[in-house]
Amino acid sequence: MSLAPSPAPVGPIVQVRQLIRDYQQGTITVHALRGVDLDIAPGEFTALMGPSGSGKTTLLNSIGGLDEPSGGSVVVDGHELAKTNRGELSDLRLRRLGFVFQSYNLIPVLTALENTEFVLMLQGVGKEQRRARAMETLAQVGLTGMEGRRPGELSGGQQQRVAVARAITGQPALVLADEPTANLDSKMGHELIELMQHLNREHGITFLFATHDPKVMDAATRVVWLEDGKILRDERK
Amino acid sequence: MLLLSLAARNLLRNRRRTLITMAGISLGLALMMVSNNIAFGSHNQMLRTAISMMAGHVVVQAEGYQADPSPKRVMADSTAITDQVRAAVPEAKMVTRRIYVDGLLSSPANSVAVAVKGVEPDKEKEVVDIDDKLTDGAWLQDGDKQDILLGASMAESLGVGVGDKVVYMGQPASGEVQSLVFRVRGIFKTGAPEIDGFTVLVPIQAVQGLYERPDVATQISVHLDSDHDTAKATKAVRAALSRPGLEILPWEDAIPDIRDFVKLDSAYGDGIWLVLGIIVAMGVVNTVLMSVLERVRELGVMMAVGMKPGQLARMVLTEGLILGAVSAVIGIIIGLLLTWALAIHGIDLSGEMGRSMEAAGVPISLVLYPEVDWFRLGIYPLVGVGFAFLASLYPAYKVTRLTPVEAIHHQ
Repeated sequence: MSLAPSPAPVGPIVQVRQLIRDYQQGTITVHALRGVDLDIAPGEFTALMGPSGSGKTTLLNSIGGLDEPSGGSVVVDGHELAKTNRGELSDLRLRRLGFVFQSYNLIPVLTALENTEFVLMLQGVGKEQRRARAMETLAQVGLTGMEGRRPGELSGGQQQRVAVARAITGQPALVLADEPTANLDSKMGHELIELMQHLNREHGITFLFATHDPKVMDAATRVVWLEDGKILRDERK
Repeated sequence: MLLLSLAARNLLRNRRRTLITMAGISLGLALMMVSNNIAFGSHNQMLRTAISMMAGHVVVQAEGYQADPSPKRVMADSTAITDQVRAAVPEAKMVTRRIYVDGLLSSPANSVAVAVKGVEPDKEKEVVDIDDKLTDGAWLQDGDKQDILLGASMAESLGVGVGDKVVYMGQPASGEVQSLVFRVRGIFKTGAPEIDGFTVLVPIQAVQGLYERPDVATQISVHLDSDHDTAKATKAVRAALSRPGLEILPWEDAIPDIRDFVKLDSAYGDGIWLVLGIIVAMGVVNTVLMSVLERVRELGVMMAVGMKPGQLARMVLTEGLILGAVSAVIGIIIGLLLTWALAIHGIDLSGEMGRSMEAAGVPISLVLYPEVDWFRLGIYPLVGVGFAFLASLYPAYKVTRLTPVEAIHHQ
């Protein structure tokens, strides 16, 4: 069930072609995505912008293999998602993708350190090595000294930093972040964006955001505008 | 290890719910254990009584007696056979001879049908406890052929007491009616109507006098210290008495009604506890399922970060197993303590009913003494964990059907 080795990253890390996602809401069919084409190159810091219902989160979920498209294709890190089974998809998310959610979504019974090393445990990394790596990652996101705290004992900003640490500690090719600053105040949101910018610049981690936050848009090197399930504009800075 | 720790911590999230469920499983298991131990003790007591009174752990009798228990089917040379049996089973606690005949017992006031048991008084006293149940008079004496012990209700029917004469009439051997005169030496009360109203005990020599051959016996019964040695002793006796005309049976075959009664009663008890087990398992399903439904979103996140459905299912099953295992340990400790406490003075159910009653023709005490069934003690943890495991299968299955995106957006 394990994933075949990823091909060398010569082209885009994400290739989306004619992506369609329809779903039923009662008797109404909602066309969340209506033929989206998008490439994301390694090292990009891209923001998907658009009003509510424009399809940002649906696109992000489709790229992350969390949602199944109705049509078109998504290739992530050389793997066409429509052709991978459930186990392979789990493996792809585990080894090549990182996720940051709006509501942090940490495991409440685990400490910051354990939340971070959870992904490494799933990857099969030995206990000592994963503990060292998780400690190092928490230091990278500025949480040294907070390792033993549970999510309930951390501020929103700190929890989101743990979520970022969990997303990057497995050394993914791409981090998908859905409204990561939406639950943070302005200062904390700004700090989080700076942290992710730093990780992008210094460690080459590719980020793709779905966001409303103008601060993220300002920080992004590329902004893709969506409306009614279609790409309206694709701006590179 | 993190998965195990995660499962344990998940159980501690809602401590009250987990504790209530654990209490349900533990108490259910403890009650099941105590009830089983009471039944086990009661069955053992019944078997001990039945084995000692009605058979012996191993029985030697004339061929065909088991199928047709006629007084004519007796063994000659019973003393010599007894010596051979004793040599074959030197560890036997007692080897004793008995003769069973029936007939009519008369007093000046009345006549009643009677089952006469001719016994070797000194030996019989060692294996049955009727001497403890004498309400009047004394136990039989070896060699005194005129002594007779009557049950209380028979004595009442005949209107006789200790020292009075009674006359036995019967035709056990030759077909001719013969009579014997006895003097009541003692009166016993076992609480079993069949015994107290129908059975009399006399010295074996008195009954042997009814036969042409003097050294006859219906049964030679071998009494052992432990039932576990029955098979070995049966084998040894069969090897020592390999001649035609005799049948050698372990007690299970000699008193099959009693064996079947105990089996049926045990199976009935097991059936009741299976139903209780299913009810307790429903409690586990509820706890684990509630615990899963409460964190669908979190499970979705776990799937999003790469946890496979199978791993999620294992985590949920582990929660059920921890719940079952911890509850089983607590339940067994409570069960052992309760059994121990109840075994000190026994559970007295006598009240108006007297101190004993009859089941399958065997007098059983109404003061119940639980005994630990060590074999089943090994099964209880498996029952606890097994039910918890089975109860967790459905929640675990539910988890594998989750899709990450639906789970993450679950409200």
